[in-house]
Amino acid sequence: MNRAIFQEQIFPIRHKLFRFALRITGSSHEAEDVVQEVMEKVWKSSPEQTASVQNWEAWCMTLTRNRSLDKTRSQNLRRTAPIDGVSERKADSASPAQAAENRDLAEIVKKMMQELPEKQRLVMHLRDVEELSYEEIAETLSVTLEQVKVNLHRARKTIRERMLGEL
Amino acid sequence: MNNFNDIEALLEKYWEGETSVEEERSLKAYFSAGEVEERFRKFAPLFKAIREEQAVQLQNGAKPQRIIPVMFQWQPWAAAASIALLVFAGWWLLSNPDNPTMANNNKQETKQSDTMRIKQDAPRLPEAQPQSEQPAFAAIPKMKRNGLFRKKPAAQQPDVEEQAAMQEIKAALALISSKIGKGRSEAAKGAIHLETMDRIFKHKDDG
Repeated sequence: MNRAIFQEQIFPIRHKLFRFALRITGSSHEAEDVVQEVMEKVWKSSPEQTASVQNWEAWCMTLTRNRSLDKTRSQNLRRTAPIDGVSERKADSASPAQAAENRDLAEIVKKMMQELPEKQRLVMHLRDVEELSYEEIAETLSVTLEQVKVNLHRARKTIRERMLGEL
Repeated sequence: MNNFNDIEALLEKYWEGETSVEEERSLKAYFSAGEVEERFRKFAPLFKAIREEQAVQLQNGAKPQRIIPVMFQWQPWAAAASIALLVFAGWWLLSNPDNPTMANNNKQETKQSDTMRIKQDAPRLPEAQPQSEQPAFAAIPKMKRNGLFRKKPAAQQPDVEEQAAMQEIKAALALISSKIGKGRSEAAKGAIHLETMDRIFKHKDDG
């Protein structure tokens, strides 16, 4: 792996890879392991392995997805449990009472998102959190564009209905 | 975005999965502004959850360690050059057992980057090549102290093989010197901060 490429294009996206791994595994500890393993694999990759890579970010996201799914399936990680290790970084600009209420409700919505079926959960994460295009999502998840749109629609619809019914 | 009809229309598109990335950013900006109209407040937790998810970053659980990738491995070069040096030195001794020891001359080092120069205090062999044509060498104090170089009597004719051997030994030592210096500077330049890479080079058992 070319050191300049790794430093300029691979290393900066480690947080994005971590969030994605966290979404799949539901465990910050496992997600950290996944990111380390992916970074190591990318760093040690040979020119032959990377010759066909056109989009480094998409390639790393695919590696992250595959490794995260392997870990989840081999260890039977509970993905419906609340995600641990998530830290709030931004302050809410609403009133304190409203902010507190929103914070609690936001945690409930996160749990709802985590409880979505795998494809819907990952598509919604990649679109809403990482703001990837439909094409990038399709490449990362190895699905068609149509499947991306369908799963995104279903995911958002489910969240909306649950919010209206439970919150 | 002040037009609430726009927000309502965008939300409808959003649920259908028909909004663009830019339109979704507009929605997120509206809901993060804090002043959300009453009829839209029930959806505020969703965009807050998304905003919080976007802020999640890889935690630095372990103390960050600077890992300096050694881009230039100078040790193999040094080892190979040392072996070559010993071989030539041995050949030299076996080929010329009767040469007198060279005297210690003034040690005036000259700086150079890629070219080799002869030390000005290096023993001058009779009828040697003109100074400007001779290759340059780095200082070889250890070799001199060990007496492996011997000064030829002025009256003696230079042995061609002897000259060649000396030049090759000095070339090997200069190579060691230049590679070590380059390796150290490259290692210093190549320092990068990899907050989690400290675990990569440690043995870690999979859970």
